[in-house]
Amino acid sequence: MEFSKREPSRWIFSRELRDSTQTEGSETDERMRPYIVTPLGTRLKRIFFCGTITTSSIEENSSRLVIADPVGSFYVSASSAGFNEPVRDEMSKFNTGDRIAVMGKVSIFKAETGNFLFTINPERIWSADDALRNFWNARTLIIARRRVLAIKEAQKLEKPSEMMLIRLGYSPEEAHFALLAVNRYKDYDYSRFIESATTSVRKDQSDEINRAKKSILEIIDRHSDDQKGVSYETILGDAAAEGIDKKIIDDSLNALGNDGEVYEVSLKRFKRVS
Amino acid sequence: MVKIADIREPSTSVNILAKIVSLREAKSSRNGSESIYHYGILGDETGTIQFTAWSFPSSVREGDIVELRNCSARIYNDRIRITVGSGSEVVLMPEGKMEVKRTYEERAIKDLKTSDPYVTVTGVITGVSSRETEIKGEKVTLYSGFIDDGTARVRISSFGVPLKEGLRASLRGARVTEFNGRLSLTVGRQTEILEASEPEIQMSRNHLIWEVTSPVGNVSFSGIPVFVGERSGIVTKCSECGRFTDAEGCRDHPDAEKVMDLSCYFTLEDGTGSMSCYLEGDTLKEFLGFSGDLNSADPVEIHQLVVKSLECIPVRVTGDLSIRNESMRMRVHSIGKITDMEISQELLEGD
Ligand SMILES: [Zn+2]
Repeated sequence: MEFSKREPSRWIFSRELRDSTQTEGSETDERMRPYIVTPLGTRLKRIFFCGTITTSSIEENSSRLVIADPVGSFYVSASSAGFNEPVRDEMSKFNTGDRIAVMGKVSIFKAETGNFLFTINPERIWSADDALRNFWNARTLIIARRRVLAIKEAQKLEKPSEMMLIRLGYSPEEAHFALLAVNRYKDYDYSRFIESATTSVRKDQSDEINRAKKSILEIIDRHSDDQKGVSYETILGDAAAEGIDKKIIDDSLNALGNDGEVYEVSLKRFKRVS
Repeated sequence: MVKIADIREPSTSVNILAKIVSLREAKSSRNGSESIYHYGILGDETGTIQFTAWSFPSSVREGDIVELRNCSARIYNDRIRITVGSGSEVVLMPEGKMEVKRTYEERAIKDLKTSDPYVTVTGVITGVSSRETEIKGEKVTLYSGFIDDGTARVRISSFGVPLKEGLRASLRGARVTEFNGRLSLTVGRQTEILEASEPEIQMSRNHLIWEVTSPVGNVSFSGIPVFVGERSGIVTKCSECGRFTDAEGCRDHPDAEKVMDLSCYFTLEDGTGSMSCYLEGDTLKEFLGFSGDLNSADPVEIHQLVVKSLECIPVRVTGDLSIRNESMRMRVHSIGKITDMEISQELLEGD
């Protein structure tokens, strides 16, 4: 069994990358990609994220995708040159509106304004379902929250050290990253970052239920031509065909019941309240 | 003079009166030349602290009381230690007497480290077995088992002191060691085993990868398999020793039968790090939903099934960690897809 020793990917929201202004290492040597140090102290070269394609331009020489996560967008770009080719073919299989997961390395460009611009050169691309999207959203939010807690803890200390943070229960890496953030970003608004990420992730999840509720109402309308209502199996079958998860269907049916929009006529048969 | 309990931050001029609780000698090669140094534990009425001495009087023995002048307190492996350097003075106090307060910090099993060797661990003892052995010509019963505190599990070895199956106990002053790439605890003469009450808080064995830095057992991670090994799928093993074989058969048991099994390995990432995982046999079959006959199965199809069932699918794995070739890996003994319920739970916990 061979395990490659590679740099693990960091899971961050697009906004954490967009707000980054610090690097570590050479910005000019092509082969030596510098590390990016984000406002949350994440030191990264490789990221993994999940989102919905909002723009897609697939061309012979270079392909680009814009992928929206709960708080902004990632810019993915692959050229036909070199190792990127298989993944570029992979990119062309997806359309606007598709949800995908991407692992890739981050390239840095300096804009005329002096700001950094980031694009992700994909190494792997997968189609992403609800489970993956929800898991990525939840985990990425938790990591961000923990980073911010460690940063706020470090800001309280007069002379923060990694050991002090480790004693407070943070992992060695968290402590290291927190100090990077404190030293490199003096005025970043962490509370705002977490607030906006939390609201957006929750909204993402409730949007899903709202969309599913709308679909279920349409399904009930489509099938309900008598007093008997529509069977749970029919709803499940039609909604699944639209790509809605069983868990979401159940939650949405419950929510519709609570909203007083739908009621159970007989066991596992549903009707609209009219 | 400063009391040991008050040494908390790095400092370059520390003077203490202490008892040599333990004293060991070791060789170090720095800049190509070998030198002898000493290390051990110092104690006073307020506590104990580790020390390293680059020069140390040969007349000083374990149990002696010494005055140490001009030492420094430094951080090493996340812990504060005393360093006795060339500018330090070690004065033996022949008439000295001192009651040392043994302090062992209570640690969660997942946080145990060999660099912090004497600790208190509280958990449930299981899997106890015993055998007779001889140490320095003396017959001793060696008890072994496991202790699990809810965060992780480690093996325990106890020389002479019996371990009681199913007992919830505090091991006070147990020593953390690493053997065969796995962490274990040794119960020695100085270790107290005390019956412990039920914990007030339920501990979680679901950890983020960055939190677990030692090879402990029975821990869980939830993440995404990002690379599934090329040779995952149908494998053949030697019926004698259980090791993988190639077409030639087992090198050590050429006549032994070859048995087919399912095996896979993958890199799990959870946003905080990566973990090399491997699993096989019934655990894997069940996860794949495979119940067919391996002899008639198509190896390519099976490989594809493994990849499709794992790659980029959120899963929770539970297993034992070990260190091989300086990298940590997990032998997975249970695996399951992550449900939306668990995801919402995780989000709530973060509040
Ligand atoms: Zn063999």
